[in-house]
Amino acid sequence: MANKHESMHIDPYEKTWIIVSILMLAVFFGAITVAGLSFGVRVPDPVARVNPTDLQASGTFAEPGLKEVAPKRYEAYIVAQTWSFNPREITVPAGSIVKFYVTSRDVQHGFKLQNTNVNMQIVPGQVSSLAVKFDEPGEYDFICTEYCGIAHATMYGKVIVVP
Amino acid sequence: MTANTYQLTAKEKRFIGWHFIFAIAALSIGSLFGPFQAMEHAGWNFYDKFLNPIFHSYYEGLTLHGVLNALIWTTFFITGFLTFTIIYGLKRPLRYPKLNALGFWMMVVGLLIAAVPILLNQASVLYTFYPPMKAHPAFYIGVTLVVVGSWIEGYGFYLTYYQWRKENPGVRTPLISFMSLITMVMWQVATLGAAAELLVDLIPWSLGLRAGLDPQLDRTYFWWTGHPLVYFWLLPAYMSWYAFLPRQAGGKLFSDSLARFSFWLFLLLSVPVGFHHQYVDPGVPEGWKMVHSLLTYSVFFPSMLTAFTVVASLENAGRNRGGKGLLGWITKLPWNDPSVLAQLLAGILFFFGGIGGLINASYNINLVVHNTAWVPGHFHLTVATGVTLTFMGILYWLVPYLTKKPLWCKKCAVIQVWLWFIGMTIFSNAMHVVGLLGAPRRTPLGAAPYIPEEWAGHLLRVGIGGFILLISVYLFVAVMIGSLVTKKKLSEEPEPPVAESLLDPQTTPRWLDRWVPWLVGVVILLVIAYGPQLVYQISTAQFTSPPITNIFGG
Amino acid sequence: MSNEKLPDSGNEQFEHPKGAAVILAIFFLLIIILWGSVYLIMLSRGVTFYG
Repeated sequence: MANKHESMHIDPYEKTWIIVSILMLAVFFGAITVAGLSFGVRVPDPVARVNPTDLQASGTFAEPGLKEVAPKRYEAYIVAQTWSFNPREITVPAGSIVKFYVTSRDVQHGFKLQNTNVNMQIVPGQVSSLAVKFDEPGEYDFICTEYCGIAHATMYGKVIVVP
Repeated sequence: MTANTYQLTAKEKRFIGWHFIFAIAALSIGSLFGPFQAMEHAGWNFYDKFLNPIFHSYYEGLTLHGVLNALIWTTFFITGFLTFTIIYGLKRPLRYPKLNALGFWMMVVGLLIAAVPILLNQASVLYTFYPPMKAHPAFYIGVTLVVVGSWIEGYGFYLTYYQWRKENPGVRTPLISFMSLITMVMWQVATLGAAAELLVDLIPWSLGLRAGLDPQLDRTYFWWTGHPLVYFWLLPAYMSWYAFLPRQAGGKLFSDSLARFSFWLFLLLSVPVGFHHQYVDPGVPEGWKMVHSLLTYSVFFPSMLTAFTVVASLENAGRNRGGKGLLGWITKLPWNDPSVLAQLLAGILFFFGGIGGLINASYNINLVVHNTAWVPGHFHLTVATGVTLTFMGILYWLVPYLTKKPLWCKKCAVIQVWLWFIGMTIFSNAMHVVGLLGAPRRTPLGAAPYIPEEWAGHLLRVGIGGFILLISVYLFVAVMIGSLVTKKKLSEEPEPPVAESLLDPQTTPRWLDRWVPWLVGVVILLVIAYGPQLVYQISTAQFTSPPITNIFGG
Repeated sequence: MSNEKLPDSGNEQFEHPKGAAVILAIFFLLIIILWGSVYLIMLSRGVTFYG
């Protein structure tokens, strides 16, 4: 077979498009890296393993709820189960930083704290964790965002931030 | 450059046609439920009022919608279409037609086996079937048979290609056959994850042979398959845009070599990106999420190439038809041809689907959209429009080719395509917006107690869009049935619209027609992207999640 | 990647795809605007990690 002109022909316009595309992707990647590493908009990282059928043995999830670890700094231990969160409601003063630790007793769930960046998959056997600072008083719903059975739509709780 | 005089036999046409009959049947049942979900969001709940005795719950409907549309309609259409592109491209019959028939009927048997528990509300686990929510074992077995059947059809393609290669040394693989092979190889690498999940974990566990599973590990297996699954849907649509649409529109393919290059990149980069579906998973380290984020950005690149080549090919077509000026050629495209129209409108919405996909893939930006209504809003632009509307467009020429009968009611087909475009624009835009506001996906929002007032208008638009889509899909089914049963005959055999390339494919560099280096690349990338985490997650797995079943209601 | 002359492509005039370039430029702007706006939503919703 003759291959006289065997070459990868690329139109100059297309070449420009390729360069522009790569540059754009590089800039976007830089922007999300800065947001993650410099600003602190991070995604969950492994924290701990638990046995979903024996959360009593886990210590921290034996009695779920809010724990004050320093002034205005809290840790919230929440158990997701069909079809509720335990506890359903926590109350903190404005200006608090709350670190959430959430696990599941049964199937997978979701945990999305509305109007914040806290949004986690809740997987049995794992503990999902992210933190948030509540500056404004008000009510923040946390809702289950993963299908977990017939009454999934009713599964939610709230953080009450008092002045 | 080559005269396409090759004819498929009546038997081959029938075999391909059976794929489409099952695909369209699945679509016509599965699509019934999508609009019911959309209308539920708008406050019109048909499940309780009308569907309940037969269809037990919103989630049985949602499972049917996801499984039949995303898995069955696509897989049956694609294996049928690829059978056509392999035979017609290589201009030779399948090497072992009985092997392909075996694969096909295995898919049918798998579909029927999986359908029974779904219809009995014993597999309302949605098409992601995340454990430890457990479906009836027949569901997992049926899904496995569908996948294995598609593999066997793929083996039939490979053996056919091998024979063709022996008969045609040195010839560039015809573009459509080349693209079909890449699609199938990618699929077979991609489905290894689901195969591991189903065969090692879910099937034994659902049969009681294993006490517990590690759901995090199964999510990792699942998403090994779950993301490239979308490329399995997408690549045949890209093939149509690259290799058929230019001819249908009256032009030529702008760049044969870039088309091939982008398909190699898809083979290379489609699979090692699954963690971008697991950005908010607790059991995957942040660093690995970042690595998959970078790789996902890389797989966006061949889509950018595709965008350029396809639009440039359309420009070539429009100018051949007398289009002048910078953009005047657009109006010269054959917008009244339902097949072309479907693909053009699919492409327009797919642009936006691509942008949404880039947003989803952007690491921490995923915190904004993960598991919100944004996500189904997104994939209804990609799989449900970019892919599905293109497949409909393909059937608008391929069914007349297979049956030698004219398309029944061409005008209905044109209206159908516009309705899909309009309905999906309304539906998808509303889903994206309400998702950004925080609405969860997979949730009958009419029953949710936490819905703020400001979502109402958007949820209404979700319902309206869904209703328009319901009309569109049954108009499509009507056109298909009408075309099948019509007594009219075409006077001569229609010719499949395979586009020529502006440059002779034989000038395409030889390294774009060699398999080994690329396949080695696939393995290396997978080892890098998945190796360490797979070893870690398997070696530290805790199989502590027993099956949970009593949660489907109904 | 290659500066060599284009091979003869039949009787067709080989034109640069100006119109495609325009459409893709619009697409490019849309990507920047839409991606950027969701990026800004993310920033406005605060951080998730306190050392």
